[in-house]
Amino acid sequence: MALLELKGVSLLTSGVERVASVTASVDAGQLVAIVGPNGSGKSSLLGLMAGLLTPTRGSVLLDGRLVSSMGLRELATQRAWLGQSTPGADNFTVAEVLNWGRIFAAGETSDAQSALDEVVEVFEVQDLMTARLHRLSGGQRQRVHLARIWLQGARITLLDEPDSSLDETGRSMLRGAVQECVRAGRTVALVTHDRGWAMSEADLVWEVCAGRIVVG
Amino acid sequence: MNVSSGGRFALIMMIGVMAVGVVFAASLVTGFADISPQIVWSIRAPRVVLTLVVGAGLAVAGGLLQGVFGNPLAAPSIIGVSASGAAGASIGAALGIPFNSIPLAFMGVIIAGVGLIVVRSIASRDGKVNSTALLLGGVAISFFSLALVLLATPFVNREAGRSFSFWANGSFALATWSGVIAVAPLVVVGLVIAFGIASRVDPLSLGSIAARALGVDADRVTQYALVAVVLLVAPGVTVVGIIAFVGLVVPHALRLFLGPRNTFLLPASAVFGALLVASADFISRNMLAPAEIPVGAVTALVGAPVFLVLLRQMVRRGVMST
Amino acid sequence: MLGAGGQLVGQDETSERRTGVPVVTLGHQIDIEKALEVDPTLVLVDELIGPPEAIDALKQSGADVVSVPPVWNLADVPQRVAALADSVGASDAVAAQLGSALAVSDPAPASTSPRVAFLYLRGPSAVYLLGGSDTGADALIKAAGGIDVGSAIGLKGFVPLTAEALIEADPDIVLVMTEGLASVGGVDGLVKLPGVAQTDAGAQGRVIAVDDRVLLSFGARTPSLVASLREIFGSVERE
Repeated sequence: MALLELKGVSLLTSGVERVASVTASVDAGQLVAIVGPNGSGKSSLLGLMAGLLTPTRGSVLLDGRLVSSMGLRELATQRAWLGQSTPGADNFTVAEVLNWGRIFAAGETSDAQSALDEVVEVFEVQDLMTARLHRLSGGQRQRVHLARIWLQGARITLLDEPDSSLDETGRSMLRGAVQECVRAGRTVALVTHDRGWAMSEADLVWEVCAGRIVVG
Repeated sequence: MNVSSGGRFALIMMIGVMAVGVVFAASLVTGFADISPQIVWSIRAPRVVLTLVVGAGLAVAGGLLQGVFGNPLAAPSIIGVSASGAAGASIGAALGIPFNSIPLAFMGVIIAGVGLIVVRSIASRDGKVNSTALLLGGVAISFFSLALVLLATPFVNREAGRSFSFWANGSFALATWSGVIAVAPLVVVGLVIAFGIASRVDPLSLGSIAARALGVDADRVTQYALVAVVLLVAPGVTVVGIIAFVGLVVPHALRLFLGPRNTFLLPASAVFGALLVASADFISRNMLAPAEIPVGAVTALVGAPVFLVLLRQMVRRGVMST
Repeated sequence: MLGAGGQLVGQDETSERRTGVPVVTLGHQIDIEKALEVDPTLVLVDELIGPPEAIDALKQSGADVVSVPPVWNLADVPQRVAALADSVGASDAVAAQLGSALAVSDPAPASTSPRVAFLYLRGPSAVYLLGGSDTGADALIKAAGGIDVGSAIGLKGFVPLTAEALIEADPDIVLVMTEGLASVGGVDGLVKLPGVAQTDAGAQGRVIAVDDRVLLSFGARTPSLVASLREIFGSVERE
């Protein structure tokens, strides 16, 4: 059974159909790349998959269950989502922000510390732990947020253009982290403009145009 | 977690509580009249207890508003809660509800709640609150409410001293035990709610969508926070009038020492808000005894320069956030 | 009393009303039109009345405007009488006679003098003041054989009423003006003012209300006022 399923999902906002009757599915352990021109509905699609947007028609199922029937907290333990940009939390330290990923979604467990150490290493934020977010560069902040949602320990991770504010080093770190994740059994779906990487690495590529998946 | 911030919290709380103890004792023994059990019990004790309760309520409300709306200017008096609480009390008094009573406190809560709902719905679009619009709306509500107080005042002239100046500047001179009983339980409920949601207010600073993705129901937390704010502020206003600056200055000052984590910030705000208002009333009562300086004037005289210094610190550090 | 009554053409609101003589003031101010209407040749005012335009208008109309100095204590009453007598042309003998009739003798100080607080009350504006020394009321209270508590605790003039001040003052009786008392809702409302309920006066409801126009007039009605007060004070035993 597929981990995440979209069945005839449409999204209509302010009179515009952003996502038009999409039916697709993602199996566990897959890496899905969502590509397409700007404004084609990629972010909306990802939001629907995350259960953060409610479809006007159709249904989204996670592990066979309707996403709309799941509580926010429960959803957070099953799936992680990171938007295109996450401003705010300027005054909090990196350590505090990372902690939110743990306590609100995952709940503190005994192996929490080692999970933290691992993620911190993967995203290379060890030296930044006591720094407040407003002191970090765009790329550093992105890494912190990636680490944060990684700590949710969710089965499927949804990323909206995670590489946009990263430099080349950052991007290769991200690619490494994603591959690591998938190897460890997690499922990742990400929106990206890096077609090259999408074509070579992804198990599934969804080409989105005008709210529909045209190839995939 | 972060050991040093927990340690700082403990230290600050100890200092705060001790200072409160000192001011409490000093307030009981100092005054124009010679000390006697009657004076202490029927005049000074309810007064100082009320200052502690009101001060704690105002400071925690300010901290909550700043955390939930991510706007450093958010404070009860700016968002209109204080003024509409006063309007509620004036209208209630004009209708014959006695002062220092529980029904009047509820009247203040209701009208303040209405004011907040109005402002919030005006400032929201698709469920998202524009904090600038909220503050501007709050200012408008404040002016409107104070005009209502002015209008209601002539109808209330049979009762003991509640002039417009009383409402606008605040005064603890008419504090009685029944006033304490009217206010304290509601403030305590507000504090319980505030401390209960404190940890969930932090991730709201990521924005409501990111917070929801984390499993934090931003809308519900915001609603609880607003209910708490009304309970923390409005009852006090019905007994004491409007005291400005406490909700703005105390959380900002504490944030500089304790950081933005609300689980530390809100309890500390309660203690230091209580300390600030109790101290202000001490000065208000004793500096020109037997005459009294309006306590809102004292908090403004002290609060405004402190706030400007804070502002400078914040600009220097590059942190203009909550 | 100075024999000039027949020549009175206009009076103010605080005077004992004489029929047939119009009132030419409005509130605490001279009503210019009414005052000019009665066409006076002599106008007696105290220093505090206004507006200045009205006084000028009266002067310009040819009237002789005489300002009588204010009196805040009983010793000055004869002086005022003399000034008045002078302006209306009464003889010195008549003036002296009147002066002694209005003089109030000092009472014998008693250990059971009641403690009296004078409160100035204005409900609508929430103005509540406690009187100390030099308010005029203190002189009256003393003349009537009481102790003015405001003066006793060291207050000068009027001071905003605070609970602690009043409790420290510890009055047996509260003296107020009738309109002031009405403006706070009578004795029931008075007792709700800061500190009142905790004093003997408040607890026992011992409140004396005197007509606003008479209390601080320091004129012809003062001796009878003092006598009445003396009687009441005498009946209150200091506990």
